[in-house]
Amino acid sequence: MELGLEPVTAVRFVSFTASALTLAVVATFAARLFGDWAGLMAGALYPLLPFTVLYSVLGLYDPLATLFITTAMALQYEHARQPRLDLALLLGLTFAGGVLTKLTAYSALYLLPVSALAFDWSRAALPRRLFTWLGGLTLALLLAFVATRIILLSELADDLATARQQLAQNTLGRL
Amino acid sequence: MRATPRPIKRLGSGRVLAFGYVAVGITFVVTRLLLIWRFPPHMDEATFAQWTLNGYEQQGPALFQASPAASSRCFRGWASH
Repeated sequence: MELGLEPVTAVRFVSFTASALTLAVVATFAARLFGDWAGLMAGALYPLLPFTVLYSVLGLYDPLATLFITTAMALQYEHARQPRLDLALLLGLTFAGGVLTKLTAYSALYLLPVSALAFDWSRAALPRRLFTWLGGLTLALLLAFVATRIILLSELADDLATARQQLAQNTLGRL
Repeated sequence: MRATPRPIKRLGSGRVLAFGYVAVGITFVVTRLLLIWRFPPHMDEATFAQWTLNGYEQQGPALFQASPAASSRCFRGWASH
């Protein structure tokens, strides 16, 4: 808006930026899993998919939610492979961003059990690694929960159902 | 007398990879910038754009004030249509 863009264009640039970052995450994650060439292939396919062609230029919540979900998936994998506090905190912030963006971003939380497949279950220092991994996940979930509490700061939180109904009526009534 | 064949210059795989990643990035940016002004407004994004405009015009705490009054201000400009 400050650059002189129209409101619709400004909203669309949020989607454009989120999609560009998603492209970087997808390529990096594929390269991490299967090598540099796989990362390049994944990156090359991403701009061609009709789904991303449409959603990366429309000002909707979905590209931002997709960014948070893919980033959370990559961070879950990295945290399972090598449990670290910094990764857990980043994962928590990603969860928080996702749950504040759209309800569908909760699917990032449902992916958590799948990350157990990436965890090294060999016996060497297993209790310590398991504690670090699960502790990190707990911290990440706690950050996501705190993010959802932001809604309580609103005066409308006491009667959220009425507020939502009022918002829907206002929106539909003017279209 | 046969001329000695010149050695073929091959790009290293690192350079090819770097070129590929840059090409992917440029393709993404160019195609999206070409499309971003061409799609007709979606109903939902028109709503979000209206909220964005109202938030931009009401800079300061009012932007984040989620009260009934602030909610109704989101649709201030729509009443005249």
